[in-house]
Amino acid sequence: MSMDYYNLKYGLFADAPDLVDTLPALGKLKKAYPKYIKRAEEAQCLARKFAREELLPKVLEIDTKCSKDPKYMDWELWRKANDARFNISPIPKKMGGLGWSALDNAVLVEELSSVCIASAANITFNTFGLLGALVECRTGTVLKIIKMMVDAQEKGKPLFWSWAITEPGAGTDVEDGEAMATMRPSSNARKVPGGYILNGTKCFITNGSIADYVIATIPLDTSNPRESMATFFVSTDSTGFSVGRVERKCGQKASQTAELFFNDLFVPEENLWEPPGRGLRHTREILSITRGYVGLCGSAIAGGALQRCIQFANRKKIKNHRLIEEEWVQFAISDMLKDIMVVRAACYNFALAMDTYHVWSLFDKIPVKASLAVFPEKFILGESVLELARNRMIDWAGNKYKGSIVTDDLVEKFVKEGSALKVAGTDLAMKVSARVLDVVGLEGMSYQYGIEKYFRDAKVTQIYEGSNQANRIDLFNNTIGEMI
Amino acid sequence: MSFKEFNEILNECRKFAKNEIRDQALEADLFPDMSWVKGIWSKSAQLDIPSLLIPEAYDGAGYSEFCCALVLDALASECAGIASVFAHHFAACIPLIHSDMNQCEKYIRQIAGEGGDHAAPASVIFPSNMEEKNIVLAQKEGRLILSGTSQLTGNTDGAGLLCIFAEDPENDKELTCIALERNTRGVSPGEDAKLPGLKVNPFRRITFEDVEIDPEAVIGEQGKSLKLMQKAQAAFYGFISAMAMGSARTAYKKALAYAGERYQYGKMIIQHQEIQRMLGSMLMKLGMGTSGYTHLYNEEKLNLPFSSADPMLAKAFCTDAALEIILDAIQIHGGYGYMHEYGLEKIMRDIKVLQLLGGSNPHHHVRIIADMQ
Ligand SMILES: Cc1cc2nc3c(=O)[nH]c(=O)nc-3n(C[C@H](O)[C@H](O)[C@H](O)COP(=O)(O)OP(=O)(O)OC[C@H]3O[C@@H](n4cnc5c(N)ncnc54)[C@H](O)[C@@H]3O)c2cc1C
Repeated sequence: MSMDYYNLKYGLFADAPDLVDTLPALGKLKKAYPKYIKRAEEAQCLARKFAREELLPKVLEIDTKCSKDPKYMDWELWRKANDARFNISPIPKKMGGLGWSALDNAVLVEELSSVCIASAANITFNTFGLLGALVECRTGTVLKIIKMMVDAQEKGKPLFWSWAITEPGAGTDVEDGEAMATMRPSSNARKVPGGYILNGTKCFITNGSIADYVIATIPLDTSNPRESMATFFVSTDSTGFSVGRVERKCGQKASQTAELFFNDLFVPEENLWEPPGRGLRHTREILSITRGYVGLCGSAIAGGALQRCIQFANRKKIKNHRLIEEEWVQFAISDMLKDIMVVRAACYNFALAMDTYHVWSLFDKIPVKASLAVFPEKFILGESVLELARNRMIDWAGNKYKGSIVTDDLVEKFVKEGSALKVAGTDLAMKVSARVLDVVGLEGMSYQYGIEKYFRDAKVTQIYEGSNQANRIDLFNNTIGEMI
Repeated sequence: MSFKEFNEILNECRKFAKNEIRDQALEADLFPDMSWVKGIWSKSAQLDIPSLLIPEAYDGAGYSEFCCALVLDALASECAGIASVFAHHFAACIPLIHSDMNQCEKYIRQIAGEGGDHAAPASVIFPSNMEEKNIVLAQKEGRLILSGTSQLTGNTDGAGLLCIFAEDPENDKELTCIALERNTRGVSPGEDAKLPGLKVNPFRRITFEDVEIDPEAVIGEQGKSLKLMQKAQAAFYGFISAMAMGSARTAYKKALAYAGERYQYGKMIIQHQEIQRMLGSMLMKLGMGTSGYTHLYNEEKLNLPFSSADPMLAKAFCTDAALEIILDAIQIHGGYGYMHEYGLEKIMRDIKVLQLLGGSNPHHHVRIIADMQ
């Protein structure tokens, strides 16, 4: 549809920022921490402009091309996002990133996902490398990863990371401790002098086909997967790495999903990110961050679908009035608005909690603040600082310090919160994206309006990042399970 | 027709669907191919499917609407897109067989004709109460002129004959039913709407540019076809219900089988209570939906005063239930359910289109009561 079609100044077409306006509780924070909220508002202005002007006009063209060729990637769009530094947004400003908080990133994820969650994933999934490295928080590794990301961004060179935990025979089983204990692994690692040899298959790996690096969890003892699960950092140019098929999916087509093979692939000792037995903990920490955001993506899919529906209903003429003037339509819209408002607010709450307690809180801590302040901009990712960061003492201190903030308890607490939001957000995405089609009818379901795409995109959000059943199990176990 | 005969037909249809449709349905969903659809149509003539509703006196099979519904259920269990081609055709037959047979003998024979040249399906165009304007039939200087644009309609690509319900320009309650060859001058199909499902049956608007209508092509009485339209529409709703249940039954069967094969969380997943609950709920919806739509045809046998079935509501129930069933079936398949080759996501897209055929379900709920007032 041409942009003139959207004649209601609502949602994506409203003037940004409307963050505090639509989440009034942030008003209190704005008074106490004006800079914090101001920056989120700036993030919203940038993200909405990008979503409206760069993403929206291309969404269907990309979806069509990916239907024909699941390996199609719109690099032009990616470059524009890279120029805006959206793909390195959480990296501190002084190091070359945007220095965006968990809240700012929530805004980015929401604005982009409300237009196309698959393209949003291509842009924001790049933070996976950083998230993965931050789990152990060895200063040497963290700075190395940051430097790689910043250098690539400056050169306009794509740098993709994948997180590969799922295997053909184990999806739920790689995300949950109890399940992992009984898992039937199809991959394994073997210790050899100087490193490890990996063998096996991973499946459904987002960006696996274009990744430069893969973070993979693989057990050393397949008869004892939980106790021997380790996390490896794998370079995709290693001998023995290959990509199988790129899946043909129902939706989210712009985001590639691939099968990966490890065939006697050697990983040097230094790229063992988590030792045997700690692989599950690594996964859980990532999930403790991502599940809440997937919930927000769900709420954004619902929000985007509803916005498109409202714009359609406002235009569509029936006999002597417009569709939006029908009472049943108004009630349906209200009902969906209500659900979205509630879930969205809860997801933003999660982002605030992320900033307060989780990895993002590190940026507010004196040792991190001081280190960032001490080094001049030019030197901060220079060889001498990287060398210093690799120092074993500092490396160890980084790990210990971070471990004292992001404790095991905190991780499980956030898995609990995130699981609830993940189910709430993605169930809502499915419900609303299906229901808006009932409002707009067959015509509104035509491809050109882009409304049916939300319906196709939504279903998988209930499956990945742990199926919604697995998330319910986590929610129960972390809330009631321990008491009974 | 005896019970035995009836079951034989159904078994034949199931076999036909399995042999002719199953293997190619997924490929055809990706790359819709009219010649494949035509091929199935021609082959189906061997089972008399195209002329199922046509009375024996006119060389048809002379079966009931109920039989059509069950055939559609069987076809949709392999591909709802193919089934929907037949559903449009059957609905188009309804006005013909409920009118004065002598008057429409020409068209009836055309449909029942054996194989070969006129073996094209028919389609039906209903007016819609969700459009700004519908097709009108006006009297101009003693001639009948059809003009306007239809709502999105299925089975227009392969259709030979169109059965059109046109409004009187002065009074939208006065409907006229017209039979018209699709390749008449002035009849032009619009763009494929590219709906997410029923891919082998593209939906288009059809524009009629001042098409002159032969008075002989008016089925029934001019301006008096409201009842006829309601009959055809009711039949169409029944057919949609049947297709929804056929598709959902396949979804259920696939989920049941997969749950018995997939090991996760220490067991075959069918041993997890939550999976059992989902499958049980699917089975419940399938059972109630199937009884609901078959009950539409059950008037003579069981005519309880408190149990009347409404085709529009049956359609609403069956398609809503079918959507819930397929969403859970995909869920049970985990990531595999979202991949094209497993065939489940296609069923989801197909059912979503079935759900919106003939109007949307919440709107049906409103209308059924509003129309009583
Ligand atoms: C588009 C896409 C992108 C993905 N991206 C990635 C990625 O980047 N990296 C990655 O590692 N993985 C990725 N995945 C995989 C995804 O995380 C898994 O599909 C998901 O965890 C579910 O696993 P599964 O598909 O093996 O289903 P299974 O685990 O086999 O589950 C099958 C069904 O059983 C249910 N079930 C299992 N155990 C129980 C129980 N105890 N009680 C009740 N029900 C139960 C599940 O809920 C599900 O409904 C992706 C998947 C998709 C589809």
